[in-house]
Amino acid sequence: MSVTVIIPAHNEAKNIEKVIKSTLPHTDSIIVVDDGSTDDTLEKALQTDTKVIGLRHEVNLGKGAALKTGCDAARKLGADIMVCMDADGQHKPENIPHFIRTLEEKNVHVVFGTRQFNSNMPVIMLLGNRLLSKTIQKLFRVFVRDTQSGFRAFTSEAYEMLRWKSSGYEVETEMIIRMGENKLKFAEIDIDTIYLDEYKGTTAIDGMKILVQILKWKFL
Amino acid sequence: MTSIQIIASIFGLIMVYLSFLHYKRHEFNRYQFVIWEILWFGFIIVTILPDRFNVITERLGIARAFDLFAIGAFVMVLSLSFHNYLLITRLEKRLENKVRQKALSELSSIKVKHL
Repeated sequence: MSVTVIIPAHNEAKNIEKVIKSTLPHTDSIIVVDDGSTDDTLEKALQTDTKVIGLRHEVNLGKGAALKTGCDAARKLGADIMVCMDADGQHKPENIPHFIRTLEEKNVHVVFGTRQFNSNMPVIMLLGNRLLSKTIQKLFRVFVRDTQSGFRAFTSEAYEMLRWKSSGYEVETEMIIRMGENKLKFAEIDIDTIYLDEYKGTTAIDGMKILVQILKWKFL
Repeated sequence: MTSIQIIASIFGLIMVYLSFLHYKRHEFNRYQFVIWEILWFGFIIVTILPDRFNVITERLGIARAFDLFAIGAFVMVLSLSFHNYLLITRLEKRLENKVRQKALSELSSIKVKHL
């Protein structure tokens, strides 16, 4: 079973090297999708190791589009398992073997990394994540505890059914909805709650956009 | 003419000139140019001769020509917003496809050693 880690990155030159180095022991290959960075994220990523495959979006399209490019590339290269991870270091690569083990042992299609909703999570994020997770559970009857966690793994076959249209931060939610629609089996594993940069990643506005999108998916 | 009529007429004339400029720069085709010119000349006429439109406003049950103009402008802004929304969505999709295709085309030139 070949494992490919997909890392969408936007202006992460500061962190990408460290993230790749700590991920390498746990995977067969890494695909970094540079999503229109204005710094040298991709160059730094490619210098780190020959296992790294670098793809560049010439303009910033958003996390969903970058992940899709990465997953399409992984599929073309014959990956059996895809692991999605953030580039800022908020996901611990040591968890990757746990994801793979859970996929294999529990015979599921998707494994979600679930963060604890505790004091490590900023209050606004905690409230937003809870609201979005509850809304998805109510409207789509898919009981994933942490719907906004970007640390997840799935099989190549499952990706065919999960393949999303969202180009922004709605990607995590759309993946869950597609998983529910296609009746794919899933499991959850606990991961650490780490927030490193309060100015990057999803904001309260993104949360509102995701909520509006959820309602559109349900009712339109 | 009141001062507001003078200001509105000057604004209308500037827009007539800008529409002509965009046409000359080939940013508007002839059809778009004619539509915008009709619109801006219409705007100037309504501004200068509001009383001429009393027949229409009375038929529509609108008190003043200005109200008719405001309603018309509102409808136009809404339809333009809708048109722009569709256009931007279409462009976003095209851009995303192009950028992603280009990124994925780089794959063929990458030597994969570990898959």
